[in-house]
Order: sequence, then C-alpha cells, then structure tokens
Amino acid sequence: MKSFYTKICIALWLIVTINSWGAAQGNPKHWEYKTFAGYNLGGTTPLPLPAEIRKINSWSPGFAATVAFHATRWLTPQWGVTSGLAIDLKGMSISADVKYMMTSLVVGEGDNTGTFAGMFTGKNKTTTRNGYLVLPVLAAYKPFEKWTFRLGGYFASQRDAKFEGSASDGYIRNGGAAGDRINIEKATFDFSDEVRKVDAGLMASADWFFTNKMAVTGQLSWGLVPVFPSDFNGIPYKMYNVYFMTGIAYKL
Amino acid sequence: MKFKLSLTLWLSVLLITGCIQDEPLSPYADIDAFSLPDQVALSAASFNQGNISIYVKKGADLSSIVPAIRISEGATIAPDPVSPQNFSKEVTYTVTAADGKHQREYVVQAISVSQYKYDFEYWEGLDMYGSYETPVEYDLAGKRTTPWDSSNRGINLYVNFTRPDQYPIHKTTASTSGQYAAEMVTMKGPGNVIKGIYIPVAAGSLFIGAMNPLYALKDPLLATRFGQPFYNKPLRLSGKYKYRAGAGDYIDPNGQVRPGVRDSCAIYSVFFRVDSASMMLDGTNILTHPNIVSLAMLPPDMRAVSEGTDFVTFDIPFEKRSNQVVDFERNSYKLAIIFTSSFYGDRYEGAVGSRLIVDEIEVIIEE
Repeated sequence: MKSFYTKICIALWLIVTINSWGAAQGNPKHWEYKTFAGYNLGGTTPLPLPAEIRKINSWSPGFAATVAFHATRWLTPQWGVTSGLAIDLKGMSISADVKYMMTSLVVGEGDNTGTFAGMFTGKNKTTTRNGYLVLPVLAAYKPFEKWTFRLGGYFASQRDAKFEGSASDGYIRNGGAAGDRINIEKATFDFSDEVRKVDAGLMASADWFFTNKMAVTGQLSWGLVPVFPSDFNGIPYKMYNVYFMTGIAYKL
Repeated sequence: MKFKLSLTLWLSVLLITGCIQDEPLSPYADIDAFSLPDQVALSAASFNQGNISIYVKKGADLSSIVPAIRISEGATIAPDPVSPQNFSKEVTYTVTAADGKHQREYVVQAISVSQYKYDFEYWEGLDMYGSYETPVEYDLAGKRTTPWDSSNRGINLYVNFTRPDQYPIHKTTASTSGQYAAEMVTMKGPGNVIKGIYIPVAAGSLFIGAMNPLYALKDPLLATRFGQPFYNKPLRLSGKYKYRAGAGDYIDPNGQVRPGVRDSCAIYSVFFRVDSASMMLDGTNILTHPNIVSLAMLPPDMRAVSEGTDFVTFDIPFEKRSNQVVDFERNSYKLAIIFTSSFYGDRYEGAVGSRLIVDEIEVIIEE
C-alpha cells in the first residue's frame, strides 16, 4: 500500500513540476492548476443517526489527510470545469452507547467458519481509516477575484481499508430479540475486508485567496454509496463517508 | 474564515449529536421470573428456553392457581397473569414486547410425578428457530417435560447447520428399545470465537439441567447448569451405551495434538443437596461440590470403549461422597445425569469423531 501512495505522490509531483514549468513558459490563462493539502474531519456514519445509537461518548478524527491536484479549465472569466486527483484518507474513532443493534460476526476459521448473529446492547467503539484515490468532476464559479466555489461530484476507488472496533460492557441476544442473552465483556470485530471498493458522492468546495497564490480551502465530500455492500450484515444500517476538509491551496 | 469553518464544523457536530433519536421501544418479550404459590409449589421454576417446569406437591389442587410472573419492561402478557389458570395441564403464556413486534411463547408445566426412566423417544426443536433437537420426556402422568439440555445450544451460537443430525447431539435409530436413542459426537470446533474464547474441539454432551449462556463467553463452564429436583434417594444408574473414541488425533484446549492420548466418554449422575431452590451445579463444581451426597460414574475401563460391537449394559451404584444424612423432610435435593462423547469436552479437548450412544437410562431409587 505504501508503494501505491509513493507512486501517486511522485505522479502528482511530476504533474505539478511539468505544469509549473509550462506556466513559466506562458501557459494560456484559461487553464489553472492548484495543489492543496488538508485535514479531513467527519464521519463514516449512518445518516440520520439510527435509533440504535443512544449516546455518542467520544469522537476523534485521527490522522485523516487529503493531498490533491486540481486542474480547472476556465470557459468564461467566471465559469469553469475542474477535475484532478486526490489521495483521501477518511477516518475517525467513535465510541457510542448502542441499544438493540443487530449484528452478525463471522467466527471461526476455515471450513468451521460460522456466524454469530444477534442483537447487541452495550458500548461500541469503532475506528475507521479508509484510503481513497479520488477523481472529482466539478463546476467552478468565480464571482469575485478572491473567491472560487466549486460544486459537483466525485468518484473514488478504495485502496486501503481499516474498519475495526469492539463491542463491550453489554450483552448480545443470540439470533435476535427473543434469543439467549450472553454477556459480552469485550469482543472485537474487524470489517476491513468488507469495505466497498468504490465510493462516489457530492462535492462542494470554496477557496479564498489571501495572496495571489495561496488560498484557504474548505471542501465537503458527501458519500452517496454505502461504505458496506448490501449483503453485509455486521452493521444493520447504511453508512456513508461524510467529511469536511480544511486546508491550504497553492495556485501553480 | 478558518474560524467560520470550525464554527460550521462544530455546528454540524452539534447537529448530528442533536439528531439522537427517541429511544426505541424494547423488543424483549421474556418471562424473567415465574413461581407458583407455596401451598402447591415444591421447587423453583426451571427455565429451558420457552419451557418452564415447576415441581408441585402430590395431590395438590391445581385447578385454579394464580402464578407470580415477572416479564420484560413494557411488555404485555396473555392470558392475564392475575387470572387463575388450571395448572393440572400445560398453560401457555404469550409475551408481547413493548415494540409490539416481538413475541415469545412460554409453556408452563407443573410436574408432580418424578421421572426415573429416559428412553429418548421424543425429540423437539426447543430453540426459537428449531434448528437442532433436544429430547423431551413424557412422565408417568403423560405430561410433557423438558429436563434435557445439550451442548447443541452452545454450538448453535455460531454454526448454521441446516439439519438437526448435523449437530453433535441428535437422535439415532440405532437404539435398543423403541425408535430412537441419543447420539453424541465430538466435532471440530470453530477455533477463535470473536477473539474471546478458543474452541478447537466441541464435544457432544447431553445433561439434565439447562444451559445458561449468559457467561458462556467469559467462563463456558458456568454456562452448563446441572440438576433438577429429585424426591427419592437414588441407588443405581443403569442403561445401555455404545462408545468409540474418535480415530483422529487427541486435541488439547490449545489446539495442539497430544500424541498417544485416547479419548474417553463420560456417563455419570450426581445427587446433591440444594441450599436454595434455584441452586444448580455447573461445569466448575459438578464433581467436587461439598453438597454432593452421592455419585454414580461409569468406571474408567468402560469409559475408553464399549466392549464388542453391540450396546453394552451398565449398572453403576451411587457411591457416597459425604456423611450427610438424606432427609427429604428438612432438605431439598437435585439430581443430574450427564453424558458426553469426550470426557474433558468441557475443557474443549477430545478427539474429533468420538461417538457415544445411550438408551434406556434408568435411575433406580430406594423405595
């Protein structure tokens, strides 16, 4: 995985170098290039929160960064089209009290693999950090000299997934509400392999240039594809990547 | 700008937190406690999934009894628990959870005749899905009772077998009387169960009592709860059995092969005094508890293999374990009978394929 990111970084660096060289050669003004880096805050979360989640005890973003390159083709002085590439790490840690949550855990190994399904009440802790290669397609709008707004969508390919956690201080009713009650002091789960390979959603961003070259940038990406496939039973509700990035952009 | 952004961020966090929905209505439809008035009851109620059995005094008038029932919070029960019922026959209660969606049925059986013979002729799916079968009995008065439970209930937590005969405990037509006998097979375990416990080998055990899986993940030995009320002094345990140790390797609790070790079965019965009506023995103390009065156990040479190819008859005496005087006037007692295809199966060790069949079990009592 490391090598994948390295390759992407080199590719981005090459594009940036070639383009800044091009810019120096007097590249036509209707192309604009931008790199930016930022920090993702948000959640891989069900929306709205299902009734099974009773209380959020803690939330922390962890290390979730974005590095991106955007190319904008200005069609008019105010309107343009933007695309590019980004490496996006979307992640968080959340701890919540849950009640009556249906879950299904794969237990055992090899041909003795079975499922342990039931309704859990207790504490749930989840840490997720999924790495995506993101391709945005955005309409760009520049109403004022210092501001650029973009709205559109993105497609993402999942390259590296982590979705794990624990269920603790509670009990599970085997098979469902009418099943045997089994106390759970602490049990761990790892759904990393189940995370869907693709994501897509809406994207909106704003750049505010505080110098000619540098901007503060904010970008909301709102996933519309559930993070887990529909045949996955570990979590009873659909979860989406909803993240807001704040960062610094540099116009090349 | 940055300030504004972080403000937006905090607002959205607040928003999401503010989105916590109303607490869902409880889906539980349990009878948590059941008892009959002291004038008629001899024992506490014993729960075996949806079956509640309770021993009553011989000759007691059961035609119009109001039980005491505690159910899940917010749930409702029918028939009305305060209306008297005729407990001389089975009484079925239906509990509906507060959410209105989940329901459970409980069958209450008042037992007045002790049972001494077990022939494993009747098998039922006692669990909510009916995926495995457990022997049920019809006592001398023709009442259906549910004294048996088995390790199927533990296995069923993680396997998804489609046929009852795939479970370690099942009926077999290889019987000595009637249509069926009880067969137990030691199977390969699942290995790691949600990183909580390691189960390399799952033995088949059938016992009088009820599994309580509440602590099954923390300490599985506490989950097997043995015994039912017994109102006579047992003298001998007799029956027919057939046993072959599994041909494969003997696996220890860590999943390691123990070369040269052969599996053996266990057939035993424990008679013990109870300090409280709800007291039962469990996997940690079934052979060692100080309240044990007497114990009948298949001797070691018979545990390794049953002679020949046919069923072998056993008739083993209850041996005194303590000097306490059995006094049914002053004390209450329980009796447990336990069969397992691997002697140390409770520790998750044994040989895969070990196979024990039992039939025509009888506890001979002092008249």
